[in-house]
Amino acid sequence: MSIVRSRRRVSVRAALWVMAIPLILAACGTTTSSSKTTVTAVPTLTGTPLLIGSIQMESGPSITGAVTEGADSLNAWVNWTNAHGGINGHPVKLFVLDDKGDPAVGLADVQTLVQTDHVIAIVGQEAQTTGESWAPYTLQQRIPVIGGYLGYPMYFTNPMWYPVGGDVIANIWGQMKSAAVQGVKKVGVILCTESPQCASAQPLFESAATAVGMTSVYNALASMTQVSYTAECLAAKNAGVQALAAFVNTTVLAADCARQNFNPKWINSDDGPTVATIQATPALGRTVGSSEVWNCAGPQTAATAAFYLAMQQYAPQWLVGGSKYPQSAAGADCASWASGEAFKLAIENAVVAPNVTASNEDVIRGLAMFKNTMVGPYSPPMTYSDGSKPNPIAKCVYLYRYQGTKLIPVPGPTQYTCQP
Amino acid sequence: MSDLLPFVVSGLAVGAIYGLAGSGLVITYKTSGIFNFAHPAMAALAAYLFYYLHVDTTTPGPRLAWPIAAVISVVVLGPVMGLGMELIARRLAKVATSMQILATSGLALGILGALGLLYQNQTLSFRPFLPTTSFRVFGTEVGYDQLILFSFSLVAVVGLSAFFHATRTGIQMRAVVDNPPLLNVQGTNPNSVRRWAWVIGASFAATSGILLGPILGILGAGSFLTIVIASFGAAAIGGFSSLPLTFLGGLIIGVVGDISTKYVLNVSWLQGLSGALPFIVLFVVLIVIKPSRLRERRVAAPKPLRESYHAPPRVRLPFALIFIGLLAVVPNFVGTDLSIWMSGLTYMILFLSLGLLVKLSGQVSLCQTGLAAIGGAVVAHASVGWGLPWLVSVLLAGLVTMVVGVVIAVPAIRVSGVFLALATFGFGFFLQQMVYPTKLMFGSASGLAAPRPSWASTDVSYYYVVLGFLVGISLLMVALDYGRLGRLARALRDSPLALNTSGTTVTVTLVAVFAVSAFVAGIAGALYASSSVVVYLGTPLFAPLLSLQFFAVLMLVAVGTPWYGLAGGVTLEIFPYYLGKWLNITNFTPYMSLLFAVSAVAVALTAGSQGGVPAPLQNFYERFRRPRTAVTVGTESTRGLPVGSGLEVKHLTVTYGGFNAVSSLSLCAPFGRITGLIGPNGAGKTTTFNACSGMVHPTAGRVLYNGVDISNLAPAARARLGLGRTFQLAELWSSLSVAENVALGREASMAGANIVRQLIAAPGEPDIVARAAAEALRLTGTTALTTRIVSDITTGQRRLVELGRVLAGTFDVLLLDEPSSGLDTSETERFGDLLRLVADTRKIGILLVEHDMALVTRICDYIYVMDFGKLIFEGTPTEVMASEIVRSAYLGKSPVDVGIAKE
Repeated sequence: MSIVRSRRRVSVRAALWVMAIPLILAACGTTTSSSKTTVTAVPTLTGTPLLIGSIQMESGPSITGAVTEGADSLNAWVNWTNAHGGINGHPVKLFVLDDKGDPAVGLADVQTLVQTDHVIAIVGQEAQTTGESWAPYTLQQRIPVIGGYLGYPMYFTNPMWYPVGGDVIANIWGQMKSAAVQGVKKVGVILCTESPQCASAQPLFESAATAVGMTSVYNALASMTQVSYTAECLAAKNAGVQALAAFVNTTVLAADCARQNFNPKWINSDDGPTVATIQATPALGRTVGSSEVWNCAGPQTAATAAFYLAMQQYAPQWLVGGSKYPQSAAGADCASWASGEAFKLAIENAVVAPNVTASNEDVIRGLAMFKNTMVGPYSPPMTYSDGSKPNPIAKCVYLYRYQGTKLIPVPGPTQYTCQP
Repeated sequence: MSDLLPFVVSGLAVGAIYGLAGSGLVITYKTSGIFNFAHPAMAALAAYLFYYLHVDTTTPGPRLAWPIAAVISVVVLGPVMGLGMELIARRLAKVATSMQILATSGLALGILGALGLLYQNQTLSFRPFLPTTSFRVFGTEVGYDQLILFSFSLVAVVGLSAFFHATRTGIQMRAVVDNPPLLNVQGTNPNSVRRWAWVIGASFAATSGILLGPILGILGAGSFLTIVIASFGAAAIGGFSSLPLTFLGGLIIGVVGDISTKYVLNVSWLQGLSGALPFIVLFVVLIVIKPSRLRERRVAAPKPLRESYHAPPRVRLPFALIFIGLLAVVPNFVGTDLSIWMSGLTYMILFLSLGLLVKLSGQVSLCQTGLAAIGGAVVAHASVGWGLPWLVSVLLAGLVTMVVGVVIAVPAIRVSGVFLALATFGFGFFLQQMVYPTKLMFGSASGLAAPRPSWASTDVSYYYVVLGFLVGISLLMVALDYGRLGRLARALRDSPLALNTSGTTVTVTLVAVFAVSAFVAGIAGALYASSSVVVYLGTPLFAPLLSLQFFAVLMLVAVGTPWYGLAGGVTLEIFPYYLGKWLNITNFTPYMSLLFAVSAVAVALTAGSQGGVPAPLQNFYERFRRPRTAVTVGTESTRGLPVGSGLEVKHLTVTYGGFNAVSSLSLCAPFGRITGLIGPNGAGKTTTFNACSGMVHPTAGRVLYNGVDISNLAPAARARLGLGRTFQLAELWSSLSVAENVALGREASMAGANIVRQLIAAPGEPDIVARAAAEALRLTGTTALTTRIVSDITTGQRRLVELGRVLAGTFDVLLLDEPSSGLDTSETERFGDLLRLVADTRKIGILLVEHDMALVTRICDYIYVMDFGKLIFEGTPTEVMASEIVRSAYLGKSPVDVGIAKE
């Protein structure tokens, strides 16, 4: 059992995210079972159903974590969409499979979705560790993978993988920018040692800090499994660090630093720590950061009302006051919704008549029409290829800061910031 | 120095919890003799209960104040867990160590499963309940929570130590393992004493769980388990016995681990050191500490495990063909589930590798998934990084893993049972914490590509490649099982001592089985990696805790080679997948863990009665067994008569901690003579035997064989020279048949110290062994017992079998330690005649320790008499009988009337 994965899901996700950076850079330069959840098409919709699938890491011996947030919000999107006329008269039918963090199960899942369930797209995947094992199959079968967990390099190397949000390099810049706009001048970075790739991201943070007018005064590596970060805290404090980007166990780190009277701002990726984490470690209420996908943890706007209404109706446990809200993190719900909306836009672009059965090629055709296209308020401008080559990289991300347990989007809700 | 103070403060807080948890573990081990692998899971259970009562806002009802929640979690749950464990432990007292490990590890998996079900695997935030403010000491911030945590742990452990030494119950707890019957006689119920120990131990586990919460800040059952498992390292420093040393060990691990973070701040490959330190300590302590200090504590001698039933080849072969056929058509029926079957086949291979160690050799190894991880990493590096052909890469994966397997054999050479389990368990965690993340292995969260061979890149074609490996490895395992290594491994499992003194260098056998097992595990890991296409440090198969599950499942499937591989793979990978699918349960893992827990405890509690295949079915299968070929009868024509001076002992002195067990003893046992060695209880006779056979090293003096000094030779080497022995309590291979026991008396020395000879018999050797065994069986009159399992025969028959074993061997001098005990008068008479016969016809020299003076005086040519470690008289039987010195040594009685008690 990996302690790395069991500490805190958001840490895991953040670490996976940062570990993926070099692979993406390289790309730019050049027992157990699965079970399914289905949402039945609404009877009033007479069009042929649009069959979509999603693979989620909901369980498994090597990971503990938030589990069903992505699937629940994807279900909410499907229900909401079907209740509001479907897509061009087509109801949406969703198949969700749990990969259990096991590559063999992940591969079986995607093959089941394609060969048995005949899905035409994988939408909002949250298979955070098995994607590599089934990505070649999606390319071989030309099944588009739309949005979801964006930490994989396949979004920029595999023509069938379509990101709905910015890339991880832009997100590093965004993280530094989120601290700079709060007046921070001196920044420190602690990266996990669980992989050399993670460690090798240090220069990216340094150059991003310089690019936003800050000085990187402290760089270190630490293990996510440490039970004490006293050494790191003291070194950062002595270096005059005002904000610390840390991809380790930030709960223990923040508590240790507070004990040494060192309370910097904390820089995070995705949508930051969970409410429960901040409640347990109040120092993390000083978190700033940046996310590749829109921040649904921020306040609702008129444009994003549909998301909140749908969640209120179909998955209220993940909204403020809901039973699972304190554990909600990592933006899986935001990403799921944005992915669903991107799929919807692709089908609308492809103009598939209600009596015609949509195919994966229709989805690819519809996605190819994205030319600086925003998925409503849920994404920055996205441009996709025609499915013959990898998709271009999006350089826009969403900044935020925390005030206690409250996430405040910067500069405002649904407003993205682009790397120059 | 002052710059180290923050780390010392922080390390003391963490270390105190290691020490507290370790102390709870030690107290239960000391008193029950059962090492509780569920101890960390019990800590996690208490922490979760505390979370539920004090923190959880997702469940209805008001939250309790932390002191009330803590009291309920420690004072209520702790004793409940302790009482439950005592009930289980009492029934586990008489089962084999491997079964005890099965039960407690099964409980650990069950608790994890229950927590997984209750909290849906969520990671929970643990709000601090102790004050988080601090004060300054010598310029260093010291948290009040750290101070409270350390002080509380210290007081608890000091209090427990004082309780142990100053109170009647405490003293009874110390005595309960050493001599439970004596305690009983004194009017104290040992079970009652143990119950107290379990209550205290479980409460310590619960307390450590609750105290860990604020330190980790977050609550995940897995992370909890890993941290509390770290307390095993503290217990190792305490020798699994001393509470103060265990607490000190915890502090050392905590402080050194914390200080190390300062010095390895920018050394990426050492960053995992603080987390890995407890496991490094555990492994190192177990390979450097004196094996005598690691004697397993047992309340009762274990019942021998019955070997799994082996059906006749005429039954096995058709079944094998049917199963291969079924597996061959799997791709036609399972559709998109083929990758699960691919994975399942690799699990089967991994089970085969573990079975060689656990089932065949009795070595409890708990790092098999770590070995698979090495294989997985090597195949990825070799095929992608170095561009080697896939098959070569897989072979290389096996070879590299084999080298690591040899390293793991080091602790196996020194310790066995629960300590070997702990050493390998620690090694698995060490690999995960320090080696998995490096470039040597995975080095990337995104993983390493592990492509399939270009000629079998599709799922179906690669499935058949894996199936081919499975069939090949199964055949290899069956060959090993039936071959010499299989026989040696079984003997090693039942009595390494007897194997060693029969001429096999056990160290080589251990290295051989660990090496072969690791090779196969590496292959399994490599095949798994290529089936998944990618491997990374979080690959489920490579999680160290999964090794525990592999071990548990292997122990649950009571079938023979290679069927346990098949059954294990289906049980752990394929069956849960389909069951979860059919029952439409999203997260089936916790249910499987609970199922394992129940099965593991049930099987462990009924250990010894398990047979795997029902008796009626066994009877049916037995109809197909060909009649055994009649054993060849007749003396060995090739055996020559020994020439030389035989065994000589010159001025032998053996001292144990200042006590002279043997003092300047000189004697000789020439060929063709039966030499008696007699003396009252504690005279030093068995110690002399042990010194002659190499089991103890003389403090002074020499042991000569045919004039050559053999004092520095190992027991197996002395046996190969021609020195055979029996034991005061017959050392037989209990799960083997009488014929196998006797035959191994000859084959063991043929295997010797040569690893190739241990793996394969040379041409002609099986015939020699068969003839020697047949003659020995005939001489000892045990031919009728040939097929009987030794655990089923009488004590007298066991004596004859043990004698038959040394008679089958190429021994020219026999050291027989009270060989007639357990024989009736007529049997003793025939026994004496037989000894006389072999001494006269084979010219074998016999050195006989015996309490039956009538037998001694009847068959011995010469007698040495010892008392208090010294030679007090020597002479012919008549001279001995007449000696006043001997009379006085035997309390003035006539020597003929004296029954010399056992030493």
